[in-house]
Parts: sequence; structure tokens; C-alpha cells
Amino acid sequence: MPISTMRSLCMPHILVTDDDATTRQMVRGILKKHGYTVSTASDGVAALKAIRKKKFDLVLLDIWMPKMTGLGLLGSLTGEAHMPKIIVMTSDNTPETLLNALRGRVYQFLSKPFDAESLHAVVENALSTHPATPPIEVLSAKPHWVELLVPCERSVVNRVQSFLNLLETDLPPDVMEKVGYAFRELLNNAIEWGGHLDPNLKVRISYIRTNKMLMYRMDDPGPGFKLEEIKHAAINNPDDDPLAHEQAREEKGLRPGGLGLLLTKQMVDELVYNEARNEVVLIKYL
Amino acid sequence: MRILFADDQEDIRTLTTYQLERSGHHVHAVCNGREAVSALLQEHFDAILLDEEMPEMSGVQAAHSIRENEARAGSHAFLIALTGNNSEDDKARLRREGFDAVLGKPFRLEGLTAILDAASSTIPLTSVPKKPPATISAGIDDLLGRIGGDKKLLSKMIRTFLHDTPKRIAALQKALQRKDADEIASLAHALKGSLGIFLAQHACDRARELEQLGRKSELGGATAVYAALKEEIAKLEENLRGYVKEIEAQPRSTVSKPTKRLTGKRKKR
Repeated sequence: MPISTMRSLCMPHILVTDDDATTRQMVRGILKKHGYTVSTASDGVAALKAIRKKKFDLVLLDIWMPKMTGLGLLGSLTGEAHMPKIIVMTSDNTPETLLNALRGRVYQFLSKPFDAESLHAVVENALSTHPATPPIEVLSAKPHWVELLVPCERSVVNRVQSFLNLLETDLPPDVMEKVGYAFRELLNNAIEWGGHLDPNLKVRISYIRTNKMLMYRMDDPGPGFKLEEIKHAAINNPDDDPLAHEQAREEKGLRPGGLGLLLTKQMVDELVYNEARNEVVLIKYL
Repeated sequence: MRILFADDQEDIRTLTTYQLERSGHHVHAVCNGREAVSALLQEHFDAILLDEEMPEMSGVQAAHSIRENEARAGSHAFLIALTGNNSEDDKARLRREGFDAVLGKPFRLEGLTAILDAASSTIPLTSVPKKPPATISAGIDDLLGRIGGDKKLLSKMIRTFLHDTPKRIAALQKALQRKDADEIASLAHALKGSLGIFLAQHACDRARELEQLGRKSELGGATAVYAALKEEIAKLEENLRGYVKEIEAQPRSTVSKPTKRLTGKRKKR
């Protein structure tokens, strides 16, 4: 067997499903350049046929397609023995559509139009995650109240954020950016400190949107913490010693930093912890 | 401006002509000095670009001939030499041969534009109906940047878009005539996807409007939005055709580099 054939057999096999030929061509061209083996389908029926015939590592899926929509395809795949990871390529889809896609075990969302760099990053991220990682569970899928149960694994942060960003596209970019930063920081803390990066432990995330505010609540599986125990975090510093935490970090052999919680507090309007500090609520007034 | 451009290299001729025309100039391109001198007998030009080294009649020989004719007629055209011999001595030599300006190869469009701007301030211009540059949200470099600089891929994508879009527009028109709201939404959605790839924001906005009207079955204003969409797409198509021409006019060696630099032939001496 020629070496090039052997190499292509080892590379992840990706199925690109979109009814737009230009999009298929672009995605295919970019992924092939990165060495992936790529097949394409122009509608849901063709994609389903291909998935049942061949084992794909990843499927990039458009939602609106003739014959069978992306959601229809997700429905047909429920209960299949081998369910490939699925990335939904979206453009202006309604919250209901997105939530239905999320219920259909979509791995991640990618907003159209995207560039080569973000496409490659999302694909790499999806392919590098262990296939046995427990899925994201959808507990509530109403546009104004989304509730998810996510495994304590780092890649989940990008995945959840790619989805929640799509629910916030009506917000001014600076608000999105600030809330996004705060959300990432708190979810990272919950997964890392609360869940010790154990994928079998879960963080419960609630997203609640009203006319006047946006609220996130995160409930991590850990025992919580006492503020005085985290002397390495800048949020603890006395007003007259804004860098006191640096000494604590040095003593513990931690890298410079520890500004996350302090910055998070400045990005949102309210940041409230429960007594044990294993649940946190952030609020941004709109 | 009315520009006469002589270069024996077809790719440079095509690319430069295209870029100058896109900047609103009128360009007459020829292959050598002899053809340039003949063209000048037929037509008046505000500026003349002559490659120094061309078969049959070189740029310098053409410049001599042009200046001799001008001495008899009492006129003076703005002569620009294009040369691969980039030393200061070469430039001074070409000025002595009768050129008003010298531009070293390879050159950027910006460099040529600067010389033409200087030329236009010194000579009375022939009135040319200026063709406005077509409006587009993104330049070729932006598009290339988004797909990792692969010119071949961009060219293929553009061809596919140019092939598929007229069919979609025709289908959209039929759906409008039938008042088929679902089909309108579906076709507008598909169009929006490919328009987004080429960063055609205005066209994308119109397609989005049309898609929403279709989804809500509110077709009152749909025909007007369709007309605006069609107009925006026509502008985009015109630009994309130019991009394909530009990509294909460039030598193979530069094909994978996302740059707008115009390359000249190698120094011959």
C-alpha cells in the first residue's frame, strides 16, 4: 500500500454537510490542507446514508438543507450505535433551533461565516476530546431559561460558550465580551477547583435572560472554599496592598496571576456566592 | 486618466490593466514599443507606461520615437518607464532618454498610483467618463486571509459561486411569482450562506431580510428586497470575476502568497 494512502487512512475522516456548494468547497479545501480525509454531502438524506455506511470521526452539519434538515438528521441519528461528533455550522438560527440541536447531542457550534483559523481550531478541539467524555445534558431548553449539566472537562468551556454566545447575539459586543470573560473564568474555576477536572463530575449551569438582565448561575460539585483560604487570589487583597496575593502565590509555587476573580467582579454588575461558595451567580443589567 | 500601457508579459499586462481600470482609469494595453507608437498616432493618452525591455521596439526606442513626434506636434505626453534595472544610475539614464518618471519592477499598485497622481497634477487630463469602482465589502486579500491564503481554492470557490448563483436568483424570482414563502426563505437562506463567505455584507443583509419575510410569510415588501439583493449580487459577481482574473493573471510562483504585489519579469541583463 502506498505511504500516502496509509497516511490518509490514519487521519480523521470528516463529513461536511451543507447544501451550499461554495461552503462545501471552502470547508473541504481548508480541512484537506490540514491533512484530514474529507467527504461531502449536500443534504441530510445523503449525509445519513454516508454516516450509516462509513464511520466518520466528525460531521460538520448545516441546519437548513433540502430533503432532510440538520435537525432531522440529528433526530435520525438518535440511538445509532456509532454517533459521530457533530459540529453545527449556524447562521442566524433561532434559539429554538439551536436548543433542539443541543438536545440532539451536538458537540459544538460554529457561527457562519467563519475563517480557516476558527474552523481548524474547532475541528482540532472536537477531535482531541476523548470519545468517552460524558455528553452535555440539557435540563431546560427554553430561550430565556437554559439549564445544562456539563462534565468537568476543560474542552467543555469552549463548547458551552460557543452555544451561549449564539443566544446573546443581540447584545452589544462589549457586553458580550465582558459577560463572556466572566463566564469563562467562573466555569473554569468550577471545573478545575470544584470538579478537579474529573469528567464524571458535573457542573450545573443556568442561563436566565429577562428584558432587563442576563444571569448565569453555576453550581459546582466541590465542597466550596473560604475566601481567606485563597490568599493567592487578588480578590482577597486588602485595599492598601493590591499585590499581596503575589507573595502567597510565590510561596505556593504558583505561576504569576490570580487576577481572574477580581477582573470577573469588574466585568459584571453583581457576583454573588452562596455560603459554601460552591455556587455562584453573575448578573449583568441590560 | 487615459493610459497607454506597453509590456510584453501578458500576466503583468492583464493584472495592471485590471487594477488601473478598477481605480477608474481607461487603459489601452499593447505588447511592445511599436504597437505603443502606432496607438499614439490613433488616440491621445494622458500617460504612457513603457516597459524598458520589449521585443521589436524597446521602451527606450519607443520613447525616442514618441518625443520626436511630439517635437513636431508641440505636445508632451507623460512617459513612465517600467524597469527591472533598479539602480539610481539606471533611473537617471532613463530620465535622460526622455522619461518623466521611472518605476522599478516589481512594483506595487500604490507606487504606480502615486506617479499617476503626480502626472495628473502637471498635465491637463482628457475627459474620461470615470467608471466608479464597484462596491464590495472585502478585498481579495481579506478573502484570501480567511481561507488560509490559498488562491487556487479561492478561485475555485468563486467559480462555483458564479455558477450556482444565477440559478438561485432565477429560482428565487419564480418563488416570488408563486408567492411560495417557504421556498423564498430557503433560497434566501442558502444565498446568505455563500454571500457571507465572500463577506458581502449588504447582499447578506438583503438575503437575511428576504429569508425573514419568507419565514413570517409576509411577502408585501419581498419584491423590493429581492431587487436590492439582485443588484448587490451583481456588484459582487463583477468584483469576483475580477478577482479570478487577477489570481489567474499572476505567475504560478506567487500563487500561494496572499499578497497584492505585482511581480515583474527577472532582470534580463
